[in-house]
Amino acid sequence: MKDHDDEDAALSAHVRRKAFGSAEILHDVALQIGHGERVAMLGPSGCGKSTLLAILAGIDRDFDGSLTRDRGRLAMVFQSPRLLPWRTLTQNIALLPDVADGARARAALAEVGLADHADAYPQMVSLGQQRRAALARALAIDPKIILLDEPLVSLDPRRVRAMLDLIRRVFDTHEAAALIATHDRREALALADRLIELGGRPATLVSERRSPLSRQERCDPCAVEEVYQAWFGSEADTGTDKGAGANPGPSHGDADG
Amino acid sequence: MAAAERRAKLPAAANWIWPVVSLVAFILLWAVIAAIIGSPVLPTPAAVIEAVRTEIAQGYFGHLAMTLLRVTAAFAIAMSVGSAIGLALGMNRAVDRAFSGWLTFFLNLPALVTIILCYVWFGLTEVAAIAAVAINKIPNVAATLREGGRALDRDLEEMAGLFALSWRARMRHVVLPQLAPFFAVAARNGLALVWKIVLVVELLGRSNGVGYMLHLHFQLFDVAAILAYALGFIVVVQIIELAVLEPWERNARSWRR
Repeated sequence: MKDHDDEDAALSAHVRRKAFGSAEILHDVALQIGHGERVAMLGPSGCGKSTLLAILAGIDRDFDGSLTRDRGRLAMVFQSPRLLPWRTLTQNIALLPDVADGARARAALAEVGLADHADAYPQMVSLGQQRRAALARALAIDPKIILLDEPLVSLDPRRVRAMLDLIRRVFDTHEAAALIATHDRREALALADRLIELGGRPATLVSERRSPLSRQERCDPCAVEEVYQAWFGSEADTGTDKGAGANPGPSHGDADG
Repeated sequence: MAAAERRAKLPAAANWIWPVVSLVAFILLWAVIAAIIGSPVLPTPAAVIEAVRTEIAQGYFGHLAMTLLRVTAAFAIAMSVGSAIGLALGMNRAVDRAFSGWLTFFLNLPALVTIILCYVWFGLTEVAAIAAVAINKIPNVAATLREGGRALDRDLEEMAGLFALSWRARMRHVVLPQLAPFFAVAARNGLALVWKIVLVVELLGRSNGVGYMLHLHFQLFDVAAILAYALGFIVVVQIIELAVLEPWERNARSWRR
């Protein structure tokens, strides 16, 4: 139906069905991301966001449906940083075929504020710093599109703010399209041009809205809060949005200092 | 200042002192028992040293070198072939199902049987000798590396795929570092086993090497010479342990917190 749109999109996917054994996880999810567009994918933890990301990244090819991607590199920041523990942060980036250069790796680390830790091994730095290193690795290959899986989960509130600022800043400098999976609606409003929401079992696309906030406006927490209240305020009162903004979210096994 | 220096050196010195004290105590005990018994069946340490000196005149180092050469060849073959088989089993479930029975068979095949069969089938040759030792060791290496293959991290494999690492880079940066502990176990157990089997192989079908000399001196009931060869043998194994295996393991562990 939208052949024309497909060609314009940085990424376009239609997952008719994705199942693990007999358990259907995703059902009829269609998604397009334009060049340079920033999309947030919302949904409760465990609803299938990571599964969809794996499909979009081309890691998981076992699904019914179609996936087309614009030429150009795709990068991903996994929820657990997935750095090689036996390589320093610099080596972790320099060993990518698209980088292959220590100086470029160091520059990428400096961009995310890790210049001082460039020669540290991943286990010697905090989770937040590992996430930043993973972000630096994704940016280092100069991607056309970047997928982020819960980039702020299990960070303490002060670090969440810093990471948000960092992600916005690198989005502005690298003009890549982005898809951010998150369970936190405020976070989504603070980052994205467009919000899509997965829900149900199996998960389908339950809503899709364009954010009224400009990229400048969404840096202001008050503006974000205003839209949040207008869009989700009543839901939050009835408890369906439990935890989305009020607590930092469910803790994951990889959480540490 | 001198006192401080001494104190700083003390812990390092203590590490060396206890093994040396313990070894000296062992030699003293041996000397005392040998003196009490007073029979050529249990020579004193001094008599063994004397035997080493006479053997040196008759090609002691040549025999040690011959054995070392066979150990090196058999060890190298067993490690490479065994690792390849083990990884194929560990990383591919179909292969594992098809061949794990074979592995169990070869694991339980007595070393002596392999040696005899090799000599019968291929003659009393160098190739048969080294092959016999390697075949004895291959199943152990394969069994160890199979565990390593099973334990490989899928998250890191996905990451390597996403960032399009080449096969070589994947092996070098992702797979082999994960297998390093398994290689270390296989190498350490392997060396101990290979040494012992090489002696049997030499005893049964070679005309040089430590195993052959032990056989010769056994026929002459020359216990001092037998212990002289055993001593040289132990020293060589210890040197390999201290000079090769330990530094390598230390290096492979350096990234750990």
